[in-house]
Amino acid sequence: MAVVDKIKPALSRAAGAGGGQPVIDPQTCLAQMLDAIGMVVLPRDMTLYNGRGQHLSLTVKSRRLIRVNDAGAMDVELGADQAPEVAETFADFAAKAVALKTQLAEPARPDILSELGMPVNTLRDALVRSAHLAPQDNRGVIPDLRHLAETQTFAWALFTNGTLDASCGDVNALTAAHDTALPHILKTEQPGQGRAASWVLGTGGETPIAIALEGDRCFVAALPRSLIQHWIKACAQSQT
Amino acid sequence: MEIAAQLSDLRSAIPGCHVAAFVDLSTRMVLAHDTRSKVPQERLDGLADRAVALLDTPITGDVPPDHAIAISADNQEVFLRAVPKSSDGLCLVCGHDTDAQAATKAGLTLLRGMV
Repeated sequence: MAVVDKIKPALSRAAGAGGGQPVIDPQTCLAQMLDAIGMVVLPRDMTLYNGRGQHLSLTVKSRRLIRVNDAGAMDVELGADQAPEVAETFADFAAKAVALKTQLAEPARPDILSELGMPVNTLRDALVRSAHLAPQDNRGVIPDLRHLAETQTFAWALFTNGTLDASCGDVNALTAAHDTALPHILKTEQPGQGRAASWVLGTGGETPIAIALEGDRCFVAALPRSLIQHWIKACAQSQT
Repeated sequence: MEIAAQLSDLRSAIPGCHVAAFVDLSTRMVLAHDTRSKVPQERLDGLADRAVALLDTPITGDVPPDHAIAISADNQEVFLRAVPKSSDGLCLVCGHDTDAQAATKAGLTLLRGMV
C-alpha cells in the first residue's frame, strides 16, 4: 500500500469524515500522519520547539516523538550533523499546519493531504536520510541493508553497542527483539567458520524479525516475507 | 516412506540444498540426514546446536520462532520446528540463491506430516 493510501484513512478519521462539522486539530493530524507513515522515531538531537504566538510544539527525545502540544508555528533546531532539508521540511509543514488551523471552523475538505500540501514522501525520505547521517562508515552489511530499508517500507532499528541509534517504525518491538534474540543468536557461532552475519526469525503468523550484525552495530528489522530473499542477497553480497 | 527417503526427496526438490537433517531438538541430536556430499559429524552436531539456540527462545511475546534462517558468507541455514514445543526439527543448508520461503514451506510440510 502506498504511503499516501495509509495516511488518508487516518486523516479522514481525524477529520471526522462522514458526519457533522469536523474540527481538525493540527496536532492530532500531525500525530496521526507521523503514526501513519511509521515515522515515530526521529534523528538524534533533533528538537522541535515552540516559536511565536500559538505554536505547535514537538519534542523529540531519544529520537522518539513523545509529545505533541498546542497548535501553531514550529521552529526547528537540529544538531550540526543533521540534514538541513529535515528542518526545511518540518518548517514548511508547520507553516501549512498553521494555515490549516485558521480554516478549522470550515467544513472539512475531502482530501486533507491536499489541503496541507504535506510532502509526505519528501518528509519520509528526509527523515530516513537524516537517520543515516549517524557517524557510520559505508562499508559492509549494514549499509546494504539500510539501502534496502530506504527503498522499501518496513520497520527497522539500528543499534550501536546495544544503544538505539536510528530507527523507523515500532521501535519497542524491535528493541525487544534485539534484547531477547541477540544473546541467543550469538551462541550460534560455527566451529571453524565463525558466526553468521544475519538471521531471520519468525513464526507462521507474525512478521519475521531479521537481525544483522557488523562489528558493534546491529540492524534489526520487522521484515515482510516478500523481502526475505532480498535480505539474504543483501547480506550475502556484503559478506563476499 | 522412511525418514531418510523423505529427506532425500526434500533435499532434491530444493534447488541449491546441500544438507537436509532431521533433528531431535530435546536432545540436540541429528537423527537422520541426507547430504549432497559427505558432511563431518561435528558439522551436523553444530547444526543441531544452532537449531536449538535459534528455535527455543521467543523473539517477541511468548512464542518462540518456528523458523529461523542464518545467513553466512558461504550459505544460508534454514531451521524449522514442526509446531511449538515439538522436539521435531529440520535443518536445511542451502546456497544463497535458494528461495528461503519455498524451502521453509517444503520443510514445514514434511515436518508437519510427521506429527
